[in-house]
Amino acid sequence: MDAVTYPDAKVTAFISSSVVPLRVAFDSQPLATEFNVKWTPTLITLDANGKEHHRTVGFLPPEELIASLVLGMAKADLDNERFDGALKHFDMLLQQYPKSDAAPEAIFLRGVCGYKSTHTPKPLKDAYEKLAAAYPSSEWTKRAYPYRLL
Amino acid sequence: MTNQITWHKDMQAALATAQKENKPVLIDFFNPG
Repeated sequence: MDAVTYPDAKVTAFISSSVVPLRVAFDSQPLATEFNVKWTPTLITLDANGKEHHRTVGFLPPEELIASLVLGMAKADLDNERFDGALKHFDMLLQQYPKSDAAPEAIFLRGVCGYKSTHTPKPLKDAYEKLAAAYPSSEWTKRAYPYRLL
Repeated sequence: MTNQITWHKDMQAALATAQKENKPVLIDFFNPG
């Protein structure tokens, strides 16, 4: 991460403007135990109250890291029922990083967000149809498979 | 020009900044070698 991803200009700009970056050694206590850290790098997105919403383990190249961070921001919004913020972040990810590994999960959770905010099943079915068309072999397409019947 | 991220090193300080700036916190558990 130090050799490739963090020196990248887009990564530096995104992290500096969009999140509060905190770096601690993998064996730093009590945090390593509290967050059950077993390998490095472990990257975790917390909300401002310290609650975890997203985690990755292992190296991420620059474009994948930014996409993953946007997904983390969207998940923090969704978990805290800030649906407008979640949709904004899901759409940002899908517009700017549609080929990222984070994109299928973003489509799935965008459907969940739509369902929770409207109480109608259409967003879930739409999510499945988008996943089936664009990411047919994704695990998120399989998870959304029941929504085809809605 | 050197691209450099200014990392917090203390959780409580990071959370205080996050609340003040209405941002999430990214924790990187890393191996300092």
